[in-house]
Amino acid sequence: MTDSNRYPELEQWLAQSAESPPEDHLEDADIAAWLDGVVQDHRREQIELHLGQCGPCRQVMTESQRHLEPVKEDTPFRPRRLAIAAGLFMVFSLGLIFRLFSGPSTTELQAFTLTSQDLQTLSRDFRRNAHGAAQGSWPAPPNLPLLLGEEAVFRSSDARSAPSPLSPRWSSLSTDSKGFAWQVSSTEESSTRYHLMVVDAEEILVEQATVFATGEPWMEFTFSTPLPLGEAFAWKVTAETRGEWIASEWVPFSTLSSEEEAELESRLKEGRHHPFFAAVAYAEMGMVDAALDHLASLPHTQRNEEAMTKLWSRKHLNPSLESLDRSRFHD
Amino acid sequence: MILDKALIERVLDGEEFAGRTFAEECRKLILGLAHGRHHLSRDAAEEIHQTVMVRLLDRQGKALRAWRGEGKFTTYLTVIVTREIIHGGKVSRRPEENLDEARFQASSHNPVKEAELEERGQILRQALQDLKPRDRLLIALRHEDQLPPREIARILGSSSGAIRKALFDATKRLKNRLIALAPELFGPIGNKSGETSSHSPVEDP
Repeated sequence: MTDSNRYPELEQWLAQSAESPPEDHLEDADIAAWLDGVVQDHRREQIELHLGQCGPCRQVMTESQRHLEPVKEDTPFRPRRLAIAAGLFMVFSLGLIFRLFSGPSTTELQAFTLTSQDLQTLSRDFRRNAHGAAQGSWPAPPNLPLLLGEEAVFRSSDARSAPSPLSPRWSSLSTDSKGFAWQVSSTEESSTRYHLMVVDAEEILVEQATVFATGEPWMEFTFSTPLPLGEAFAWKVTAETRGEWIASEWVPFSTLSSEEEAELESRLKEGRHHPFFAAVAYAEMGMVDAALDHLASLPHTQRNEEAMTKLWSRKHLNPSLESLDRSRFHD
Repeated sequence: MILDKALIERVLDGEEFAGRTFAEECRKLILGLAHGRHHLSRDAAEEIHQTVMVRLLDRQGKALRAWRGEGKFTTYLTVIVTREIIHGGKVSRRPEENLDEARFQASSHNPVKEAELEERGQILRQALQDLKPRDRLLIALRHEDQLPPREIARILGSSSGAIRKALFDATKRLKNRLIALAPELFGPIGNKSGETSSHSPVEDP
């Protein structure tokens, strides 16, 4: 399309004769109400009149509108690409299964981890997809689900049939923990196998494994090579039920260094009789999200409320705690 | 959505649990916008979070009270965060400084041209003021901000086709008004290179 279709003379004249924007700007509440379409006709005209004259307010309005669009409920991989990648992975996995096992039993836990070379070959597609998706539907790092709450969490078409990650959740994976654990689907239909994926903070696939169902209500798996310590990751598990793959949410977590782990263990042990001590310990270790998660899990009793007040008295221990406390209107 | 009018009222009443819930929900949304959508660093996003929370709660929650419960609170918060990000220089502002350059290039230190430019500017501003607010906004979005009709349609919650039609009509009304006010200055709009006035000026780039 050529510029002549855009009235370049008009654009040029508008640029040359543009007035300085008005000194008074719209209230944010007015822009928000206008964006939500809940202003009366008379007020709407006033707002539109101002928006037509005021570039800064118009920029706030257009940028806000751009980011009001709901986060797509999507995995980091676009469905079509995911289907291709999953297909490739399944074909490859089946080949390996037939080569390594002469008919795997689904009643006995059998897991395999691809060799690093296999992983490298397979992960090329995943990496490409993850990077491609990073430009569009899932641009955020793995900890976005935590930041955005349920908006950014991938929800399967049928949440009941998705596996639920149990551990690690929001918190850290320590070196002696048993690895990744999840609850199998809550429906009566049992899944035959699970695909575990771990991505790093750059959304690059760092580990994956296929685990066959055991018939137990929960599953666990440990990678033979420990993840690097002191880094952030996210993981999810995808269940195959009657040929359909259903994914869990992405769960962010981090790995503790051995020193941090020892310190955390010591603190948790020290305060095991106090309901909030674990939260304080997590916060002090910089695991504020784990602290909040712990707090959210506690019942709102008077005793707990009192203990919560004490917790805020230790706000100097962590800037995030301090920030939250400031938000509680306490001078 | 948990961030509703009832919660805000409880927050303004100083209810502690509501305040905590409000802070947590706002934190998720603000960091999600700043870090997830605007791709600011985690530190910069935290900074925005702090600033916005202070702005909301400062002066007995003046900014919080300014939300009158119309529409969604999340929209209001999004606008506040966006303004903070733009004003904090995290997102590039529109190139207002280029206006002086455009004026300078147009005049080229020629007094006659400068006078003509001034006159044309006055008439253009007059013609724009004569337009209906919605037409003025359409013209600004299309010809000043140079947004494609598809984008304008998304902003105004309309279809692309309806916006093309509205833009065409608004531009035509502006053109007619300009020609009526100063035909010698604005006669050539849309008529160069054999273009006809029926040619739509609002196609996608």
